Amino acid sequence: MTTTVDAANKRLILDSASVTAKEIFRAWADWMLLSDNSKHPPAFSATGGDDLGGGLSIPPYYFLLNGWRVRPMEANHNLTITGNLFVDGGGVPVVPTVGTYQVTVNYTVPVQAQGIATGGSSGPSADLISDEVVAKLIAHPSFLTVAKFLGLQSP
Amino acid sequence: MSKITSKAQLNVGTEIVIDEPGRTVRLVAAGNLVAKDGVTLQAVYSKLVDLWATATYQDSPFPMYAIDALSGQYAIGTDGATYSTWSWYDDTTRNMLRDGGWSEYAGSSAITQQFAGFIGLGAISSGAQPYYHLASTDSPTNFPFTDQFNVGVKVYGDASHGNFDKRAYAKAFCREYGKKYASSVLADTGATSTGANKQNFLIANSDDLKIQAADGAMTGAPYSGITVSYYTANQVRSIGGSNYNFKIIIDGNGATLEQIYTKVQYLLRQGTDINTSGTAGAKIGKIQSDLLTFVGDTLVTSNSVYIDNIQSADSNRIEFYDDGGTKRTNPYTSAGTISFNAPLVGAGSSYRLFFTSPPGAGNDYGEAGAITVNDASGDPIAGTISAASVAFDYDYDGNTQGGFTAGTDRPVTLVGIRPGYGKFVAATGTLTRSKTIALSLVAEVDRVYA
Repeated sequence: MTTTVDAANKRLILDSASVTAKEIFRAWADWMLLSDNSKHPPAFSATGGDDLGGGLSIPPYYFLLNGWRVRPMEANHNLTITGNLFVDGGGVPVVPTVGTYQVTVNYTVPVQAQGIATGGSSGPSADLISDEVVAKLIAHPSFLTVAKFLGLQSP
Repeated sequence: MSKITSKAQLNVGTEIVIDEPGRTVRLVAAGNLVAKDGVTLQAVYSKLVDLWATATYQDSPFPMYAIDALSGQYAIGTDGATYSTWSWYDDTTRNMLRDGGWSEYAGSSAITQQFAGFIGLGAISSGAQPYYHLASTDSPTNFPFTDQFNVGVKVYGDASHGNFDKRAYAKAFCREYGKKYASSVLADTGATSTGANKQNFLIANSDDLKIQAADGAMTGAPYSGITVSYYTANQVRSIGGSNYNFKIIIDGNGATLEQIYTKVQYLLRQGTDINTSGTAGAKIGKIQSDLLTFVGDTLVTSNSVYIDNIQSADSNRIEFYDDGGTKRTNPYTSAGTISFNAPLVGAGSSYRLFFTSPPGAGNDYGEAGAITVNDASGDPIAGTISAASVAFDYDYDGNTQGGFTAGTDRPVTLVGIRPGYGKFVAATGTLTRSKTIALSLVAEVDRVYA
């Protein structure tokens, strides 16, 4: 996977149908080291990655800045972007291709609030977590009523 | 004891010995006479007059002639009218004579030797060893005693006494470690020649607070790389974009001005050739003219002296005097340091300094035409962040990048990044007319790259 940086148009141009937010971020960071590319306004801010202990860390969030956007490759395809890729202040991270192509973009965003270090035992999947929540609700129904909300009735 | 100035302190047989048959006058360091302190020629002359007033000595011609005590003009071997063979017993005796010069005769009106009374005026440090030479290329000769000098120096000798005449030039020096150097040349006194009279030299020294290290340190860095080269042809050096001529080039080896000064002063005390790579032949250090002087914290060179390889932070506290004796100074070069926090320091990092908003369009920081600031040498202020602090300089008076007017403050934007270690960060600052500009980048730890 290669991401081309088009500084003049503030575009991060993909060449594959599957990419992670981290890969796009890394491509930009490596590009910034070259020549005087740092004269351009930064494309990203990022947060996360902080170690929580026990092999856990806050998952990284990547925010596009200063008008930078991701542009898919010039082909009909389903584009999958994995990871927390957002536009700072809101917006759509991906812009259309230059040519007339049909591109469907799938954002695959981890639901867990914690990243899990690879290696060792793995955490439950999103489906397992969902199933467990539903099961608990069925086993221990608890409905919020207006009276309960106002404190007139005990739960 | 002190210098004997009265004939009463000269006792025949103790301090002074008169050998009539041999026709010599001898001074002996005994009784009231200390060799280093000496006795004035006037006291000796007066003593001889008194002695020759007695019958004991009147059977011999009178040994001396005093032309003028104030100017210290004396002669031995003549009484002013006739010539005898009276002379000083030896050089030990001659070295004890003070406050005058003299001519020596040997039975005729022809001068056989002539001694000028070299007298140092001013205070020099205790134990200092002053020295002199009688031609600009002559090796130096120490005065016979330490401390301030007052002694006869032979400036002329006939064919039987050295066969030389060096009455046209004289220079006295006092160069001691840790003291400011003093030297005085004959021309400084208004005289054009020496002779049988007093010759005053203004020689005084005092503590030199700019000396940075003992002599033993001169073989180590940075001193070992600081050298002096004397050239016969002019060497061109550019100052502020104009070329000027110099014949003495000091290699500063990137040291501070104080360190350069320390090494140069050291070299000027050496009795060896200090001309490292110049074309002007051997230059004995201790007889070369002073090359550098501090006036406050400003280093001032002597005529035709230039220093290569000085620190950028020092470029505006030095004044050069070119081969024509005109003062030349560097345009103001600002200097400062860029500080980085730990995540940014190391391989795979990059920093770059941009003008924030130069005149014109499309060249602000963040635009495709953004302009990297050049340092004083014209190189971009950018690179790998190899240390937590990186020094830089900037041609404040000469930089016109981006259409700026020279000599004005410049807002700048500093950026840095080290993927996997330090996140991209930018900070703003201003390049001013200062030697202590401080810019810094503090990046968050990059935990999202790896």
